[in-house]
Amino acid sequence: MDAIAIVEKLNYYYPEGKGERQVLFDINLSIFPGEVIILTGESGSGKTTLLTLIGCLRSMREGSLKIFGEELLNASEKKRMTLRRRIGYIFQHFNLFEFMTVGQNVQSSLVHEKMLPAQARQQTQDLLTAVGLGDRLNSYPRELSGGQKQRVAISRALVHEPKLILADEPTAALDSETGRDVVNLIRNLAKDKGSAVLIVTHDRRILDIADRIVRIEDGKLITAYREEMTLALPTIEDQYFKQLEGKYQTKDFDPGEIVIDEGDDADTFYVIVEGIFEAVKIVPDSPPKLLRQMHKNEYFGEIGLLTPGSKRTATVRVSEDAPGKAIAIDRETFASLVKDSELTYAAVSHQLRKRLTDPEMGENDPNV
Amino acid sequence: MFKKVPLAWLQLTREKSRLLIALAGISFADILMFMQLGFRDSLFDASVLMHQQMEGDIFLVSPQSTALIAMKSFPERRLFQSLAVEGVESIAPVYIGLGLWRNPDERNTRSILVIGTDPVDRIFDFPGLEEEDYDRLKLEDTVLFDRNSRPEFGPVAEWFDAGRDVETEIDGRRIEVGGTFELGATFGADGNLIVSELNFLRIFAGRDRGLIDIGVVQLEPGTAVEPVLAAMRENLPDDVWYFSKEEFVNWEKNYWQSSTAIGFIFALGAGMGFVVGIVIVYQILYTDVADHLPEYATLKAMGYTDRYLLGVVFQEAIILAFVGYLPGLGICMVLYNMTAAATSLPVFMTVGRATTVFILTVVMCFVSGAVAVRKLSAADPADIF
Repeated sequence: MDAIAIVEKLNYYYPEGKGERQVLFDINLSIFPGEVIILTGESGSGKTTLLTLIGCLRSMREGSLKIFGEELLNASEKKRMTLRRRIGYIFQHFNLFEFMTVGQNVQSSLVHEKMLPAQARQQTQDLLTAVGLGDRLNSYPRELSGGQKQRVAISRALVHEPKLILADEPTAALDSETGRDVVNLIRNLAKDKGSAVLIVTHDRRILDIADRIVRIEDGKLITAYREEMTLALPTIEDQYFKQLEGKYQTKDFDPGEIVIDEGDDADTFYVIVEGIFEAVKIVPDSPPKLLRQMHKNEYFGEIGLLTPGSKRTATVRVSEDAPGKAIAIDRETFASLVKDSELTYAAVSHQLRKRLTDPEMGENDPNV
Repeated sequence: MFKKVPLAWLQLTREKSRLLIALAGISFADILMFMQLGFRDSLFDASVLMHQQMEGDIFLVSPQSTALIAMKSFPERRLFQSLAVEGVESIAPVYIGLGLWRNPDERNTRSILVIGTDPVDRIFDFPGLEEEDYDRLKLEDTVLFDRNSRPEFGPVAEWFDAGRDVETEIDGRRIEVGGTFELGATFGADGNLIVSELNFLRIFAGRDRGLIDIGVVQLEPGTAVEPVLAAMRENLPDDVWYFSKEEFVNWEKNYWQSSTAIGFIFALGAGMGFVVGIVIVYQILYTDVADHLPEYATLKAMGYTDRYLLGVVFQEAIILAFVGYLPGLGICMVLYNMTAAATSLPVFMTVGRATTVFILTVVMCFVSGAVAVRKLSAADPADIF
């Protein structure tokens, strides 16, 4: 499957005083059709800059950025403008045209499409009906609630069926429930059409809709360990993340690679970021027995860690189909994490108990 | 473009109060231009009303004359000489002078233009001038009074219509009003009188018989003016100018236009209206662009071209020009009527002026639009995230 956007070795600079300041360092990122990616990071980290670069709204400086297969480095303003017509934009403050009706707002995306006005109206009507605003076609944005406005904005961004949708803090101006509905809507509409979505957000409550989370820190793209951890262990509060700072590792695994071997010393805790991991029993003279498949934002390795000195109870390997990625935390850090946060301890213990009731595992681990 | 979303129209009509102010501003600018140009044209028109209503084909004036109110006389001999030119049917001398008219009611005096003519020539075609008026002109010290003269000359026409004998003085000589006609005030003269040649010389004792101010030549019916004019210029002494009627009219207009500040002043007034209009429309368009900057940026982000957005601003300018012009035109027609009634000046709307002001309005809005769109470049789609 061809990527919709491929970012390679991208650097970007802002002018500052007489010189310039680098805001993006060696960014590499690919966006595939149908994928929902959340891009997160502190304010000022450069995430919005990256979004505007991918959105063809800024001219490139260094590196490579291909959108729909077109290279943007040294691309003309006209080329970027043409590419922009194939992208849908969703804004924090909706950016609806206040002087237009809801219908006209949505239709404004179709001006560049070669279609009859009647067809444009029909397409607009259909999409607004799909987002539950079919009866508000002739209302003005000021007559709508925040959630409704964002639905209109989403319709405007999607009506011309762009293959790439960029959303900047789409939930920031909405309450949590409305925000959820809105991102679900974006996700569902995008999945229907096979469009890729890149959402820039701070909002941790919507992280779970992402297929992938990436984080920018000081202009560098990193695995969003904090967000991934939050999804895996929702009870970890912000204060405990400070202990994690610098004490985790992101590990990449090849398809089929063994992560832990049964019988090894248990010293690491893993949170899955990408790929499918399998817990297996190696039975001599026969194919390994699959105990469990684990997906993104599940964790493993906790069994050996909660009881000091114990060995691994099963082998974990990456599925043969795709590479995997996981965040690895050492025993000490993990211990302090669960010690400090009672809720987390409870959650992990609960998970542990559940897994141990699995007959295959329990009977094979006399140490527990 | 309009069949989808009429951006410019929606943008403009969104803020009704602002649109209203814009229209009021443009109307105001248009009214200013209309009034100034109207005054100017009417003043010029008024100054040549008499020229236009003199029945003649060729006019002789002294080269030292500059305008009707500053005539230098020349020998009537020249007029007689023109009779020798083929095609000339008849000639008529005209004397022009400024006399002091005493208001018969309030007894104060005021300068009035006195036109001396031989009553048998009947060369004036002013409204209200009848055969019997010419006959009455022959009486000693009898004058015809312009009822469109300014009211400062006294209630002459009213008294005359009421059957009262109107007697007063010009330059100290007792005269009686024997009839009225309609001509109107001009820059140079607040009022007009027609007298017979003889009475003219009686009133202006210092003027000599045989030294006339305008010589009027009438050609035989069906004779072309140009060849006769050429023949006169060729064969007759060149110490007088020979004008066709059109040249005669332009000669007078040209004096007021170029030799006085009047043309400049009114052109300046109209220019001010134009500038005021530019400022107002610019203000409106600039505010409009500035207020909608995020929306313009959003449109740019959505792939709308700069040219499309420029088009939107210019469309707004043109819509403003159209919609603002119409009330300006309407109000001006009313104002013209009021002015004409109040000043005795021939102020009225002409197709030419309506067109001129309309074009000026469009240019005005276009210039404003051109300046205002520079603000559009501030709409950076990268800033809206």
